[in-house]
Amino acid sequence: MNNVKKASFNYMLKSKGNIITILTMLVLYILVCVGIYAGVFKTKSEQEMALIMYILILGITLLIANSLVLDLTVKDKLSNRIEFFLAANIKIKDLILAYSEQMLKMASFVPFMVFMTFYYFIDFEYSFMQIVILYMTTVALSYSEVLFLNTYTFYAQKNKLFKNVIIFGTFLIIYLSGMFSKELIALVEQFGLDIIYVIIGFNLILSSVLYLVSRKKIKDLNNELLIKQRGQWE
Amino acid sequence: MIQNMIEIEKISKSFGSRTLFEDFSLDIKNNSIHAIIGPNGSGKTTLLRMLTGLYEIDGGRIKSNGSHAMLLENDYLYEEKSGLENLKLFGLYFGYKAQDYERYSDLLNLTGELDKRVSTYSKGMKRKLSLLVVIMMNRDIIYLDEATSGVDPISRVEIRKIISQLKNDGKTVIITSHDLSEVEKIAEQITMIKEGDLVFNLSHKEIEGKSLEDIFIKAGERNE
Repeated sequence: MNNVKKASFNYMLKSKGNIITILTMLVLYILVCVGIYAGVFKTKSEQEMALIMYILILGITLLIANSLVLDLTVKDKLSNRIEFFLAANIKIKDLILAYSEQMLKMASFVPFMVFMTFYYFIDFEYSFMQIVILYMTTVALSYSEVLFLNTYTFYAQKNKLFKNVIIFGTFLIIYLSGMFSKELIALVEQFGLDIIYVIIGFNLILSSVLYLVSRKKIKDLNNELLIKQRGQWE
Repeated sequence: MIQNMIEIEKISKSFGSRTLFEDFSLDIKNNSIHAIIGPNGSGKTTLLRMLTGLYEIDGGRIKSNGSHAMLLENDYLYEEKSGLENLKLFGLYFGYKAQDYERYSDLLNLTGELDKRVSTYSKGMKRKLSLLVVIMMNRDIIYLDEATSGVDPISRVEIRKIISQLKNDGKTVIITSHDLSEVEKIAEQITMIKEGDLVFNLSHKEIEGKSLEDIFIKAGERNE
């Protein structure tokens, strides 16, 4: 499993497509930093800023992770490399877990910088523990989503459609959350809740569901099914 | 020393309602070159897939006394990377260092091409690079599924040379092929299967002086 981890990280690190995606997200991060410095978010409440930070961390992680899944897992599947790996005794479960772990590692760099920037430059009244729990549960959700994406790649027949749904869905969530952050917070407050607890609860529930579904799907995968499930790009 | 590297005992395999293998048995000797031949759809690739664990058998037993790797019929290289980068990357997956490969890449006449991108390679060069990766994995058993299919005559000779070298290095090589003249030149043991049935299992000595093509056609007709 360590060999697969080493190899996949090395592959992702040298892939031009992945480097471009990470650099694009880095530019987005710099724009956010400039926005904070220029006082663009001055009118935003503490809750709104927590929501924006959350959406940025999750959204950036997902966009990078999706690019990594396409570049590594989908290509492995479509090029028959998976069959070669399996025939040499690499287990599909080990491969999916190793890929997911390495992808999360690579996709978490920019989001971690977003988190640190917000933590240091936004005057949150939330306690240190509350912010850390928010971040940790977001990482847990990110991992479950990466695991789910990697697992589902082996079931999906139309991989391009699968990619488009993920990218479009992520952008939509980022856009809608940014546009309607005020309304969203007002809605949550109507129930006497703080947005940070809602986010933590959402993270815990969704990450558990995605993790359990992924593990069940991984358990159901066998070599024969993987060879038959060729998949296509178009 | 182990006599048989692989022992296949009464295995069976069905796909839905279609039974392909039933009570199929075969021994593959240690440090030998064993060819499996048969017409299209005879079950050669399925047999290799069962031997490598890609397919689960429905019944019977397969005893393998060594580690294995398999050269697939279709290409699976990283097209956008160079030959050497492919060698190194697969090395990370399988825990070998991309060193001392020249001994084999020279035999395959590939050393001078390793800096080029795989997408510029011919089919023969891709097969040879895939074979080089499998060799570098240093497994006891090497399965070669249609290793010379669609490959130019010069590359075929080079692949034959390297298979002989692998035997000299103590490996057990199992090849499938449509090309009977190719098999005749290299295999020590030849097994013909048809729709999952064993048609014949002959040593190279037993077919010496005879035409494998004639044996193949007659045996095929008898089995119909």
